[in-house]
Amino acid sequence: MTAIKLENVYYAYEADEGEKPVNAVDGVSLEVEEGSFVAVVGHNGSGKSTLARLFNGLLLPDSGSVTVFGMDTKDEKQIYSIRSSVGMVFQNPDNQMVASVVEDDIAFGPENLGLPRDEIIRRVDRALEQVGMSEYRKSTPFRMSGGQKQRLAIAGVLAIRPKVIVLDESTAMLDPKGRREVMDVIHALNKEEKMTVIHITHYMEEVQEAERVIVMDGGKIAVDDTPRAVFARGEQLKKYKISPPAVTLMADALADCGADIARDIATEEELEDAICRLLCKD
Amino acid sequence: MPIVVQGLSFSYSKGTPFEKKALDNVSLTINDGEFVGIMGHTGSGKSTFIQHLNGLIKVQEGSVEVNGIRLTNAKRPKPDYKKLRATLGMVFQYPEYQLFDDTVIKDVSFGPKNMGYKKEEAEAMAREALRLVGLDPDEVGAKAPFELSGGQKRRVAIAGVIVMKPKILVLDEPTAGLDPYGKEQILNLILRLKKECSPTVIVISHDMDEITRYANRLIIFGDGKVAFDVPMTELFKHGSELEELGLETPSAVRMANALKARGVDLGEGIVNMDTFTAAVLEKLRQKGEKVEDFNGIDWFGEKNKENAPLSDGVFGEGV
Repeated sequence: MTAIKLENVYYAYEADEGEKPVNAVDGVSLEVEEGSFVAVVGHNGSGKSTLARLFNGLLLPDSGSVTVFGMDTKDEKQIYSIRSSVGMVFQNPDNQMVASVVEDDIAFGPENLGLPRDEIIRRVDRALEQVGMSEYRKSTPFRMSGGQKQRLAIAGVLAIRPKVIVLDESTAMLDPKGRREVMDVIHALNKEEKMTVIHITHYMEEVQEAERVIVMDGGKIAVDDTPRAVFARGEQLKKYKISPPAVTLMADALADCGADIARDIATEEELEDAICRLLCKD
Repeated sequence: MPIVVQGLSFSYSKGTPFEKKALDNVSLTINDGEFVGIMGHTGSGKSTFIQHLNGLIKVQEGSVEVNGIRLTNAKRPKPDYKKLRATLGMVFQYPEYQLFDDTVIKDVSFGPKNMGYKKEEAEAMAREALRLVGLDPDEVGAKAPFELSGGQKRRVAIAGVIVMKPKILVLDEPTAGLDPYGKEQILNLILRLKKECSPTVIVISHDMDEITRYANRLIIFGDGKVAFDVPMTELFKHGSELEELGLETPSAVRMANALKARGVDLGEGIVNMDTFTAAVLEKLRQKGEKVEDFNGIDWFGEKNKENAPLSDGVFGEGV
């Protein structure tokens, strides 16, 4: 089933007086299949965050349509179900905390939905379990690491029980350990709970773990393919100001210098094997 | 003149039940002209350490000496903080959040004006600083900082620090939150500033693959202590220690070790993608394979621009 469908979507932010508005999203058509793991990349200003905000009606298209499980985001009557279907996690963990105790923070969403107390408690328990933070339910988020805070922000979204989770550079402000924690959580949600994940990131190592990559450039979809196929495009990526992960860069450099090594190498093991094939023989 | 730190210890909330030791008897020397990378997980003491260097945190125990200016816990003689901060420039994380004035030129000239320079002098210094970070003062000088793109804002914030021509430049995670191209540009900007303005550079980073490409010495903090301090070329000897400290081994080091276990010894000194690639090509050459010369990985072609005058077009969008 299609989770999110965009048909010929255009969106421009309001321009200053006397200036012409520029389309931040410029004629995008796209379908995201339920249960898939999609990475969205592109340099800053390429339109990827705008795209994310169109997914759950935070922004409405100037023209074209965005439908979420068949519901049009322009339909005001549906906006609550749309927002409960597509949860968003943003970049700065500190901006997403609303309460000084973890369980209150997670309960904020379901409380707003007007759910009965028992159900709220069940959801808070479950959400904390899903992000591996049950032992922190009575703690305060303010003394936590960035990775822990971001997992709480995810838990806060999970308590709404969305079918799709959109992460808008949610790993950008974290250290490598915090990034790993968040990636592990969203991969588990995708694999074990079949949740649809749309992950916007600048980290190419994270992109490699997705099933599908959408490269944005100038508000348009420049490439839409598997990570391996995208990173093997070499020169073309430079145009979109994207660089492949370190292993692919090394494979590419070796190939440039005449070594018999494929350019679409995606993991350290593959590069080791390729080098071993040339050097291990005797 | 170097930075000499001796027996530096520091506790937050000292004398309260929340007392937490952040630095524990740290001693080290950083010489002129070094490019030092500082790493360590959150809470390891690295930020507390650099905040000591320009007197943002008062010394509790031990001493810090920067270009002859000595900081201790003694009340007198009072250190010359003005001189210290003109000597050692500090660029914090997300420095663009600290822009405050209504025009770029006023913001960048704030430092020199505070140091007692006349308005015209201060603005001339600001214009030069803007040029150094790759911005055209005529184009951006009169603009409000919020009109600029994120990457431009970060460069304006850096200009506000280097405007005093500090001999030492300290940057706390200068590439955080930038896209890959923006990162590459800021790193090359730092190399350029090192060459033209601030010969000693200290960078805090979380990105092992990045820091190994630029710094020539790595200091790792753990539990308030210097866990180890090595020339970058010897990093490969410390893989297991890195992992104990919760840090990733650079992928080049990991692969070199894996290949060694499979019988391909690429030799010593592999720390980053460039040294790894060069070592593999050298092995191939020794085997009699024809391979071309390798000049380092420069995906965006930014390195060659290092010496070229930076026009506004060179820097694209950043943040």
